[in-house]
Amino acid sequence: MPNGSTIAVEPTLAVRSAATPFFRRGRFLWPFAAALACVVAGLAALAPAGHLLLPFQPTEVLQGRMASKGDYFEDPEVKRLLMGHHLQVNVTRMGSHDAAVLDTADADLVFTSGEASGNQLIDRRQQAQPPQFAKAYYPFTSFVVLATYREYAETLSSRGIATPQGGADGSLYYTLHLDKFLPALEAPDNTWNDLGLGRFGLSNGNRVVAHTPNICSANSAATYLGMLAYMKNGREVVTADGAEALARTIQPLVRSQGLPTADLFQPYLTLEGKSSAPVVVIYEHQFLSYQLHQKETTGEVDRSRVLLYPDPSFLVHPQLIALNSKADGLARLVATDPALRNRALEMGFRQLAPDAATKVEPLEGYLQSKGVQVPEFDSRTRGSLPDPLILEKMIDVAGSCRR
Amino acid sequence: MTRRLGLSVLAACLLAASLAGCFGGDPPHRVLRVLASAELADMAPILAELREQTGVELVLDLTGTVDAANALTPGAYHHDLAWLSSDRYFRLKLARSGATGAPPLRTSIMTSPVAVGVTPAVARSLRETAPDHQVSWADLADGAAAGTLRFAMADPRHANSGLAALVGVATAAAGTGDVLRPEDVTCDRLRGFFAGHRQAADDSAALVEQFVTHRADLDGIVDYESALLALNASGRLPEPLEIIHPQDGMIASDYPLLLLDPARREAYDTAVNWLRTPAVQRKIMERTLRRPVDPTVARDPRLAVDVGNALYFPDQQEVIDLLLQRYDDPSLREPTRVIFVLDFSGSMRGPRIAALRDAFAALGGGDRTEQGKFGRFYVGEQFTVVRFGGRVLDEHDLVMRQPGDLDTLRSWLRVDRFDDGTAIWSALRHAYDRAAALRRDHPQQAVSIVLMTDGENNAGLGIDRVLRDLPASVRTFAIAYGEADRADLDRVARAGGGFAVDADASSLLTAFKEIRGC
Repeated sequence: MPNGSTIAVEPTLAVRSAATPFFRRGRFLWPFAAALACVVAGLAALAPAGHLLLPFQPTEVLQGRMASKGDYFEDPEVKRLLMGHHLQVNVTRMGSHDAAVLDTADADLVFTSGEASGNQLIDRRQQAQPPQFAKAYYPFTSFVVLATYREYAETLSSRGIATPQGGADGSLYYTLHLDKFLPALEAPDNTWNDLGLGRFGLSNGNRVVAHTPNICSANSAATYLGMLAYMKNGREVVTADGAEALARTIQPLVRSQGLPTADLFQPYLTLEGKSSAPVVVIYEHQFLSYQLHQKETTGEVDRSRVLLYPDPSFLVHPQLIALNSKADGLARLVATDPALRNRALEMGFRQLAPDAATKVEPLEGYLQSKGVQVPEFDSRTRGSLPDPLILEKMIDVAGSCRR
Repeated sequence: MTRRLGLSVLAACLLAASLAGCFGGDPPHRVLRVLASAELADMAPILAELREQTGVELVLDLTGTVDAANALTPGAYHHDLAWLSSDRYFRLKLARSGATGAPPLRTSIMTSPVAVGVTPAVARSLRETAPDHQVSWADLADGAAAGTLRFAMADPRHANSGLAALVGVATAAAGTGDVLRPEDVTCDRLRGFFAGHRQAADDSAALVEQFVTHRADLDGIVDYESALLALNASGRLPEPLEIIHPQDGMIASDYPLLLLDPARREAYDTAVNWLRTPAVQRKIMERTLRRPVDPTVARDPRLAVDVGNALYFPDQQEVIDLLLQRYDDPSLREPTRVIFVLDFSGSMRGPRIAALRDAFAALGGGDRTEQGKFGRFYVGEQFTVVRFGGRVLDEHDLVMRQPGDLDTLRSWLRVDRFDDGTAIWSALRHAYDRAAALRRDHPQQAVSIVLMTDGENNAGLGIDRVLRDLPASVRTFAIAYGEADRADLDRVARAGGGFAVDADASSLLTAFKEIRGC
């Protein structure tokens, strides 16, 4: 190589491939893929529950007061359906009377189990100056019934006080002849053992009684009082004349149970139920809901627990009362939304003249489709409760209520 | 390098955020102050889990249930919640206070009936003598009266287990099948039962300790089924107690959690919902041996037994007050003295004296009816038997220390010497003098006189003389039999603060039983 000459060495430039965007690089991709999978899994979990977009929309939370109808708003499926409409109801349980008469300042809606208490609330709000919002809906109905255990029903049946429906052994329902049940309640010191419970393998020296919640606050107890009054009044609606005297004669029948229990139905379902209160006054929907659930989860209804349908029958109309416009929207939804109405049916509620458009099948059809025995009624023998104000007076007398 | 780090951090953040979104953060810590029944101390491990899983911490302020209820004044609560074994006493108190607002929200968490744990030997003997081998409260009262059942029971003035037991045994003693009414408490049919009550405590947990300490002198303990099962499982006893659920009924407790401060509703709901989940219900059952309120939870075999029928709990505070007043009365702890003044005039010969002897045999424990078991003579009870004809024939004293002592009493009645006259009022006067002397020596002791006659007075003092010198504080009862003058006997008995019974209307035994304990 000549001196002075230079050989220019060509620079060798490493040719690097074009930069991979960070989002395609492994170090990022793996953690991100994991995170993404997690999000996707979360969305997948939320989607079927109808909660997909909820995080992005505000949910209206309403405060509701109710007694046994709290079962409806606390049902997971009802909650889910309402959530789909961005609505949530916080339930505070109390007797229907208390729900209606106590200060409602912190409530958006009141769901009374019957009409008497609800009407009082509506009247009070309408008469206020200026009038306050109150709008009532009747989304469904139910019968006041007596739940018991097979041995007790058979004891009543052996005395001609009750008759199993359908004639077959193992019937879920009995017709309770109130005209014969009343003397059994009234006979002094008449115990379950005296009625012959021993023949069915049990012993109970307690006086024959149907347990009710507190008569001063619960609609079912008030209706039971009304039932007994109707029978004692010769199947006539009790009028103001003699109502208090009649209530006094019924007092021992409703107070023999002593201090009432607030909730009767849950304890009735436990192993100890037969010991604590063998005959309890409840609503039909509570029992049917339980049996439908039993059938669905175990394939069989629970034949040790049976229902006594009083004859004459007493139908109650739970009143869903909206106390403001946002509650009104919810109440209207409960009364008209096909999915919500359908869910009520699945929970054993009866429905008043179902809207043709909603195509909700009646309760009987639903029970049949689920393979659960259908209760029988003679729809002509409906009993009637006295005027709400008269009934209230009778309750005060029979229950020595403080108002 | 920096950029690489940045990207990794970004990825990590995204992952963390996603995970947080999936699993949620730690729930906020909320403390609720709870006035609670003493026996709920055993819930501590479960409440630690409640705090861990939900952030809600229940700080329990433990005391006897009745004391707790007495400490709860509407509008002036010092706690956020109350957790009582039973809120019945509180509800009665609330009703009487005239409170018209909504009662505190309540949710039952678990249940446990009051039961009786007895040593296997005593259980065997109770079962052997009980009809159909089903032990009732009456059989327990019978054993206590006979001295074969010495038991511990919590003080009903402070503890719910004691109150539930007292209401239970009093309802069974009234024997109406109905809820206890004030008039049922008027006559004290529980003296025989309480003759066996040897140890008390202010709460259920302390009672168990008392029982273990004094085990050698006790045959049984009245407490929650859960406390009895836990005691059996503790290994502190040489042999486990047999648990008796009295056949005629019991009173169960349902451990409601009460919301006293509505502002704590959210935390209350969280706690209640957690405590009522099936998994927690199962845990409560396994650890505390209380019964779950969730019907779907399968039972521990020890809790699968039938608990007997629930007796109705009074809905009038007045009844509870009367029962507690009775319990509070120091004379309940003092054995009573009964002076029997018995007519041995000639007309009592034959079937009448036979009926009298039978009646005493029945009262000594021979009457196996429920009412007979409650009303029988009991250990510690003191008797004076005065036989009279035209004058006082003889007089004997006896303290019943064991059932065999009653043979002595019966032997006094076996004599077949009858007198011609009938000096009713002189004999009664003699009994009054004796009673006055007894009262002087033992002012705490209750002394009553039971006069039985089948004829009219034909010797000795006149009735007016007796009525004039009537001593205070000695109750007089009269049993009219045969040709006795009902009106006179009624006058004297009423003047003596008691009443007269016509034995011809029922039987001599029934008449004696009507008087027992009044």
